[in-house]
This record gives sequence, C-alpha cells and structure tokens, in this order.
Amino acid sequence: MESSGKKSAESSEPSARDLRLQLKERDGLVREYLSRLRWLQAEFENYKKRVTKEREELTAYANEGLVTQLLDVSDNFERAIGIAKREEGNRSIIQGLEMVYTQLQNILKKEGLVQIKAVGEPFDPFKHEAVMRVSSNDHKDGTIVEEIQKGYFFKSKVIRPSRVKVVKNP
Amino acid sequence: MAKIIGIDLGTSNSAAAVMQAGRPVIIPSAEGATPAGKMFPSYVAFTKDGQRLVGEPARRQAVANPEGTATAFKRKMGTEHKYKIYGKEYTPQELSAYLLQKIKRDAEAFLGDEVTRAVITCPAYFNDNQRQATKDAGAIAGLEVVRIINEPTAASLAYGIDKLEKELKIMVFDFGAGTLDVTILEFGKGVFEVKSTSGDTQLGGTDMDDVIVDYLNDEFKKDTGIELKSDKMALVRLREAAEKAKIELSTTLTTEINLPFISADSTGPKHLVQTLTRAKLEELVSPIVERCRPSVERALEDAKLALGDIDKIILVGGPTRMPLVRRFIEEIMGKKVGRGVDPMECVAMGAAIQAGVITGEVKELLLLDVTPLTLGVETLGGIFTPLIPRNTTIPTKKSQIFSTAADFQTTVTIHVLQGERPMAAGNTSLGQFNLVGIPPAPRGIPQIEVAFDIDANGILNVSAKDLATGKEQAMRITAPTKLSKEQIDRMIKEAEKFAEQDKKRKEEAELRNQADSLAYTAEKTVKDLGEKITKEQREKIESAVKDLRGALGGREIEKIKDRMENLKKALQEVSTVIYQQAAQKRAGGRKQYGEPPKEKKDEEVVDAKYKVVDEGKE
Repeated sequence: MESSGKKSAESSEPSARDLRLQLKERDGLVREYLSRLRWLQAEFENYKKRVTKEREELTAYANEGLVTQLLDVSDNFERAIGIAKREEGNRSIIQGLEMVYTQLQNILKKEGLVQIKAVGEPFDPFKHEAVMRVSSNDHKDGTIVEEIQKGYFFKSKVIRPSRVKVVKNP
Repeated sequence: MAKIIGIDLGTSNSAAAVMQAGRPVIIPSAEGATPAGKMFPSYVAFTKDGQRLVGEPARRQAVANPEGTATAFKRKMGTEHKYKIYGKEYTPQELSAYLLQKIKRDAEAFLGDEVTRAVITCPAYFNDNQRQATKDAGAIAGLEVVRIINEPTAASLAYGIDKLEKELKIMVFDFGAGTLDVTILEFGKGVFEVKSTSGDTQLGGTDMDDVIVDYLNDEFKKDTGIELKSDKMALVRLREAAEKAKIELSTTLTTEINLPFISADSTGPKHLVQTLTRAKLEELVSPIVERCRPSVERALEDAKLALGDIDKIILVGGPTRMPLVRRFIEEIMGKKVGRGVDPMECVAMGAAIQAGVITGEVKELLLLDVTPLTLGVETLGGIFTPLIPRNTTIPTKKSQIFSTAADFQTTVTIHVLQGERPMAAGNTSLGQFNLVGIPPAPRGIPQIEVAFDIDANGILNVSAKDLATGKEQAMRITAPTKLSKEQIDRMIKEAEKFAEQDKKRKEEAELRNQADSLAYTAEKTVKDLGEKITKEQREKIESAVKDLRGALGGREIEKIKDRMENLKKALQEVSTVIYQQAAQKRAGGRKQYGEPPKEKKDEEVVDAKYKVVDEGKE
C-alpha cells in the first residue's frame, strides 16, 4: 500500500512551475475573496447603521399615515362649521361641533401636527404650493394673500404644503 | 471602492437607485416623496432673488413664478436651445445638471459616502449629440458618467432578462406621466440591440386625470348646476380626489369619492358624493389608452416583426399599473406581460444593476439562495410545526425545544417535512429518524432540542438532542432534485386553497391535544391530592375524565368541547387550593416550547423530494 502510494505520488508530482502557477492562482482567489468579504462586511456595517436610523425615523413618524388621512376630516370639519355659522340659529349645535373639532385638533397637535403659517407670509416653496397668482397694489411680490388649503408640519416634516394664492405683479 | 449610482433622468420625473446587498434600492429624495411615489419632479426654478430650486419645491412655486421655472428640458437635450431665465441663459444640459447635483447630494446623504460616478439612462432614440449632452450634464454636476444606457434596456435589466440564456425579442411599453415610448429590443449573447422605437410625446397619465376631473365636474353640474372647475379651491380638491380614485381603482373594483362642502348656492351647501367603478373609469380613459395603439403597431412594423415574434413585454411607468392598460397590451400582443418590478422604479433600478455590474458587485458568486418552502417537524396530532419559514436566506440555523407526549416515553420520532400546510399530512416528507434512550419521565418533562441547519449549498442537517443525557441523533438531507418553480408555486397555491379547511383541521388537532392534556392533568391532580379530596369529588372527576377520553375516541368536536367544560367544572368545584395547584401544573407544562412530538411508528415516507444521505450517529 505504502509503496504503491509513493509510486503514484511520484508520477503525478506536479513540477515546481505548476505549483507556483497554482499558488499564484490561489493567491488571486484569496485576494478576491478577502476583498469581497471586506466589501460585504463594510456594507453590512453601513446597512446596520442605516436600519437603526430608519427604525428611529419609523418610530418617530409611525403615525404619519394616519395623521395625513385625518387632515381631510379636519378640513371638512372646518368647512362644515364655517358654513353653519353663516346662518342664524343652531348656536348650540355649532358650539358642539366646534368642541368636537377642537378635540380632534388637540389630539393631532399632541401627535406633532403643526399648522403652517400662510396668509401674510412670504411664499416659501419648501412649505407652500402656489395654485394661483394675483396682482395686488397693496402687497409685495411673493406675499401670500389667501390660503386655499391649510398646510401642516408633522414634527419637522411637511406632510402637506399649504395651497396658496400668491401676489405677482406684472 | 465607492458605489456607482444609477439614474433615471426623466422628462417629468426622475429617480436614482443604488445596489445594496445585491439588490437595487431607490434613493429617497431629501424633499420627501411626491404623489408620484419615490420619484421627484424634473423641475428647476430660479427665484427673482437668485435662489435656485430643484425638484418638488420648484414644482410648487411654478404657478407663482412661471418665467423662472423650467421643466421637460430633457426634450431639448442636444439642441442649441437656450432657456432664458431672469436675463441669464441656461442650456438643457446645465438644467439637467442641477437635477443630477440634487441626486448626488441625496445619494451621498443616503450612503454616507462620496458619490462621483453614475450610470444614466436615456431614451433609445437619443442620438449621439443627445447622449453627449447627457454625459456633459453629469460632468457639470461633478459626476463621471461611466455609461449611458437605454431606458428600455435598464427596464429589461430590472426584470433580469440578461440572466436568461436565450435569444429574445422584447417590447418595452413605457407609458409615463406625459410621454409614451415603445421600443423593441433584441437580446442575445448578453447584448441588447434596439430594433425600433416609436411613441407619442403628448400622451400620458396626466391626460387620464383630466378626463376624470371633467367627468366628476359634469356629473356635479348635472345635479346642481354648479361649475366646480371655475372654483380654484374646489378644483384642487377635485384633482386630488380624481388621482386618488384612479390609483385606488387599480386594485379595487369600486371607490367612493366624498367631497363634503365642495360648493354652495342659495339653497345651502353642496356635497360631492360619487361612486366610481373601475368599469366607468375604463370607459372614461379608454380613448386615451386607445391612442397608444398606433405607436405599438409602428414599432412592430419598423422592426419588421409580427405580433407573434415578441417573446416578452415589459411595462414601465405609473399608468401601466392600471388593469385596463395591461389588458390593452395583452390583447394587442396576444401575450401576458411580465410583472414583479415596480413599473415606476424599474428604469432607475436597472441603471443601478448596470452600475453594480461595472463595480463587479453583481456576481453570481454572491447570490444567496432562499428556502423556497417552510421546513419543520410533525408534532402531536399530526400538526406541522415550522422551524424555518419559507424565503429565509441560507445559510441559516434554527432550533426549538420539544418534549414527550406520553409518560415514560423513551423514544421520539423526528419527522422532517416541507410545505405550507398546517397539517403534516398535507406537506412533503423529507425523512424521519428516532431519538432513543430518553430516561423515563412524566410527559412534558424531557427536553429535546431539535435543530435545523441549512448550509450554503442547501443541504439540511437535522439533529435531535436530549438535553438531560446529551444523547444526540442526526440526519442529513440534500436536495438532489431541486423543486421546480412550478412545483413550489403549486404547493404555495394549494396552501392558500386549503387554508380554511386546514385551519379547521389544525384547530381540531389542537383541541384534541388540549383535551388530552386536561385529562392527564386531572388524573394527576386526583392522584397527587389523594385523601385531600372527598371520594365523591374524586369519582366525579374520574368519571368526567372517562367521558372526555371516550369523546376523544370519536370524531365529534362539540362533544369533546362539552366534556372538557364538564371536566373543568368538576375540577373547579374541588377547593380553590386544589384548583390553584392544578393551574400551576398547567402553567408549568406550558413553559415547554411548542407541542410535544407525537410518538409515531416508522411509516412509509411519502414522495420525498429530498433524499436521506446518512442516518445519524449514536
């Protein structure tokens, strides 16, 4: 067993040159794998950091979707109260409605909803959206003269820009 | 090595993506997402005081500052056209560069690293001049454009077409917010070749919103005589509602549009309440969709191809999410369209994949596999208890502690299965083995750790270890014949189909387990308490246990439930002290993870897709 093993080993013994080539090939592979590993590891580290950041954001803004959907409800409350007030009578019902509206607003405020200031402010495209322009002698260019739809911040993020009318003199 | 990002520089909207762990991810826009999704509008604006705005803020101020705002400048790329804004001239590539600069900033914030290189997409019909202009735009923005690729090619990459080792003829139907591009590509030997392009630069999803708004306006006018479109505030609400309804009707058949207090006249406030069905929406927009037909036909004609020659259809752009658009294309082509990648993001994603290929990041070597089906073991009552859920990336390892189902049970059978059904019988058996020599103990006491370990090659090692004695038994399962995609899909579909029925069976099995456990606890309680309870009480419990056991022999679920209640009552009647003792026992029993495995005789192995390689070591 031993002798035959030795014999076959001798006959198939690769030359030094072959071995060197093999070694070089292996070296190349090792380098490639190592670089891939480093790449992957670095990416994983970055990924972990990003996920942590994203999770923080997610927790902070978890209610954003719900709050955004409730903006329509809040708008409609304002419209209902506004129109009801134009007519005489029903004082107590209007008062009740106003209370419910305040209740809703307080909940939203507690969650981090803040109304964006609009009328009289200079137009700022980072929180306002222009839907109309008007000319006016009483106002400077770029002043907001009318709010068509209220805009809101949720914490530090604009979840809905205010839709506004802006002064633009020819 | 720094990342190369992929950019979809669109006429109305743009987006960028980057490879993350082998997958393209859309880079979020700093100013937040628009209603269009993760893309941002391709707008650049200058205010009178010289401030430059890009993306969403630029779009928001367009109405107030039309002469300072530019968009759709992609259409002028490669021409001598100059945009004159407040006395200064800008070339289309300079304006495009402002978009690219913003993307660069967003990407750097996202990756936390400097970004200097990019792959940018352009329409297939762009000539050398236009492509050079795109490259120049990159250079102005401080980005080296390592490659310009065609938008339809990028979309094909996102769909993994380049991985198919086949020659294919592909039609890419790109229906955007404002333009339609139809491209026919030929793919072979890793190369995409453009055979023909056609399209319509004045056709898109915005046209659809317009007809919906008109319809809602007309309907309201019929009821009330009020023209909503002349009231700016009402129009804003109307347009928003129309867009929302359009998107919603891609997944539902009917939607409710509610706009209270939209207007008022002398008779009081008016509300818009309108139900819009998908059928109505399709009736409204179908003339617009129909306008796509000539472009499709022309593309085929120019490529000198017949309808049947196209192997694959890829849809790009938000409006292609509409079932009507998909049906329209499928009807013309007589072929199903490809799905699975977000049609609005696929161009940016394809560009990122191309970028990944250039950095060498996309390599087969790193593609990790996932388990296509859930792997688990059979436990008491024929329940399938999952250990590794489907779609888990491998290599992975999971273990769980099980216990015995009977007193003084010395052998447990580990029956390994794969599948999505809750009952073991519905799934495919991969093999089983016994762990013997467990020291005799009451049921629920021995702790047997079952571990599943799948290596990178998909070979599953299952081991069971008695934690008391350290005795271990293992089995190796390889996948000599991998399940085909069809088989896996079939198994998943079956699981959905039988979900209701399976749930019932599982509940039944669980109820039986509970009943059995209750009977056992009751007997044990009686034995433990001995003389502490009266003979009457003992007999009452014993007869209730007997009744329950009798019911368990039958198939009537209600009977088992009733008798369980009877036994519980009998137990409760015994003094509170005794009841508390029993409760402690039950709670103690629950601490064991999962259900005890059922003792099972060696049975035939059903249709194993995996083969047992070696039976374990003692």
